[in-house]
Amino acid sequence: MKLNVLSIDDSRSVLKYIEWSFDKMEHDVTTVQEGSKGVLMVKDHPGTYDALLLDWEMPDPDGMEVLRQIREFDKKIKIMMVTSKNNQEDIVKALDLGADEFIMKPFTPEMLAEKLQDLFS
Amino acid sequence: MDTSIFNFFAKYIEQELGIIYNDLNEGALEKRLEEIKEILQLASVEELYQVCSKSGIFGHTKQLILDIATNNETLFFRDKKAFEMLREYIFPEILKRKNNITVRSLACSYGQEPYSIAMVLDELRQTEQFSSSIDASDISNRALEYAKQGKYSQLQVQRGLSSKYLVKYFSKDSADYWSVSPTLSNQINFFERNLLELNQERHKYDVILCRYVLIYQDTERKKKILDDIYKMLNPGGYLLLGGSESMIGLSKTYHEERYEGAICYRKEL
Repeated sequence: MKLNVLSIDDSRSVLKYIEWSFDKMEHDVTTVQEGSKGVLMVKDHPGTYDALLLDWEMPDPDGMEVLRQIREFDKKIKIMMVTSKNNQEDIVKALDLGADEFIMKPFTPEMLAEKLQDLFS
Repeated sequence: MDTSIFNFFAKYIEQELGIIYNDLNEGALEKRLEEIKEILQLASVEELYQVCSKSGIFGHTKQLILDIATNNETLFFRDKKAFEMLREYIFPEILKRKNNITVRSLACSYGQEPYSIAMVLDELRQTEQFSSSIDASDISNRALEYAKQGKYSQLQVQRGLSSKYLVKYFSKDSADYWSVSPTLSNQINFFERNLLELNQERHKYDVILCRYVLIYQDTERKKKILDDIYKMLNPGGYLLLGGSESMIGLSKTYHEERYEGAICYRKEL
């Protein structure tokens, strides 16, 4: 199944790494650096993106806020938090807010592909 | 690597474990011998060879070679379809007949497989009342010690384990390791067993998993292992092999059942 994925991360180098990772997969990825812009992209193009890779540690709005805003109007899109946090309470909090999965930095393209596949299996 | 060194270790490993190293996987054996050399603080693989060929292989060196030769890499819920089959097809069928389930994980390596089974059984317990036990064995003491401890790195828990299961069944310690909860570890009995010695087994099981290990054995040993497993199964019991492994040409005593793209092999009820 070919997926259309949106990746939101304030770091240009992380986005470059994600684009490079997707070059090895059959899926497509669109990248954006600002959280607020990402929210609008999901809102204005309903059903376009199957999954969202969402950086947690971004400046205002941060990943949790973007997650909260998107879940207000879109319950369907699969949201995977991309983070260097691995605090159990934080993970529980994000899952409660509607995140579907986590991937911890650093990760390999293979791990990202596995996680995406698991999300849709 | 020098042919005589390769032949020496390949022959030893085949005699002890039945695992075959040939020219196709020579590189893998070389890498593992390099690792052993580092652990034993020897200057080279040649030196390791000289020590082993002169004095014999025993004690710590023997355990290291056997541990490392068995390739203990694995992940949680390896081959998702097999676990779906357990959850939705095999365990429910067993529970129609009886209210306890016995499971055996052969060549359980670092424990990801038996812990994954324990998670499936624990979830099933939310809706069904039954008792269960899991026996898990491996030839490698190092792997068993690791499995018993049930502590996994961030990298390991990212392989195959969903975040929901991670926070439900594991807790993170201060050193950034995730420890499996007693709910799971209390269900599992770990012990040492060589796949080539299954004829010593006395226990019977409803489900046996023997995945991604037969590929390392020659045809005759595969047949013997499958015959021994058949004797270890309760009537109506199930055997699961790895996703890429097949029973073709090895045994006609089992009958094949399929569910949603997964295959299991069953003993007559």
